[in-house]
Amino acid sequence: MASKQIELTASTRTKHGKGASGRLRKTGRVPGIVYGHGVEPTALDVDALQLYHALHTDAGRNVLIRLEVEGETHLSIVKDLQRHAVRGDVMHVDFQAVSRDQQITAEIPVHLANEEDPRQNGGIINLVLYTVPLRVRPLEVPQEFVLDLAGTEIGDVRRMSDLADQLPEGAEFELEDDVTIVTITAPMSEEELDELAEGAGIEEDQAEPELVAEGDEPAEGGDEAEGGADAEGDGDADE
Amino acid sequence: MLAPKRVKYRKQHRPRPLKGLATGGTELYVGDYGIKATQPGWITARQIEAARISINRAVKRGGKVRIAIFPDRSITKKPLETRMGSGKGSPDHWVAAVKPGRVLFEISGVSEELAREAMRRASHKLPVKTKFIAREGADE
Repeated sequence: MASKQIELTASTRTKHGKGASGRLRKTGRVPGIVYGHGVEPTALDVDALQLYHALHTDAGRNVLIRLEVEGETHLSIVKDLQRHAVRGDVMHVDFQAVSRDQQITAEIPVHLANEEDPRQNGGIINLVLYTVPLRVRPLEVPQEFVLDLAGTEIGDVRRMSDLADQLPEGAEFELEDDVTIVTITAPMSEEELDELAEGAGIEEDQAEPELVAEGDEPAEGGDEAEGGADAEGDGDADE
Repeated sequence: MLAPKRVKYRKQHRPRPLKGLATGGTELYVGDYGIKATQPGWITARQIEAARISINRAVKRGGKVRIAIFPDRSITKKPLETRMGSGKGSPDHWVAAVKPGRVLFEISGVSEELAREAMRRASHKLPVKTKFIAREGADE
């Protein structure tokens, strides 16, 4: 299952730092870097829209990119993305140049099939691993692993070993066979639900936390442990 | 309500106004859906508890909820009708200092529609504006 390859043109950049990068972003470019197999680390920038389309194919984040920089083409993957905390725009992108023959680590998403089965039995699907790290050659990166939940019931567990039949030739999982991917748990009982829904009582007054270093500063620890309105005239307490 | 179990000192300096964006906790960790703050603010333990209860009431039996923030800053208060001076007041409540971009609650195991409704209700209990977020590929 070869990954789709996307063409992306990048230009090198000489100005670094947040000022220059900010100005670059305003022109619709995304600053980035390419490094890896046989490539000297090079600062570059790519078109934001092209990058967006490259990242939104069926292959997802594991898309193979033919990155053209100054006339040279590097087969690369997106190694890291920095996103804006609120808007989610890509602020910076790391490309890792890869060789066709050398294995890389790719995070393959896990997709659940027949989710209705455990739900019909009243179970709750608890997906523990959203992605599975896989050592694989770049051209053989699978799009996703499908985990079939048909016939599962409350208490059932699906582990890495259940994905073994989908492993591409020559690839290997980075996790042990017994690592849990998904569990089917029982829903909460009425009592638990009531307890959660009502909470421990918002009005309830919180007991003061215990002090870690009570003996260290007798002056502070001594009078402050009393609580209530302070009689101390020292002003600010220590940090 | 959430509060630290052990602290080194009872009173802390008052947190300064929050500048900038969150640098950690900006992405979903274990959930399919969640809400993140788009404004800075102090969220009290009481507000977190109220939001949690509203989420649990909305999702009923299904789903798992994770509270992604913890109120670890103590805020002191002087008693009412007290003259100024005579030192710092006594600890009154605990807050979580939240910067824009911080994920506040996560939820998994429910449909997007239900998650949106639960998070909408939770956001009404919070002192900051929030936005709904979903994991890439969730509920395709």
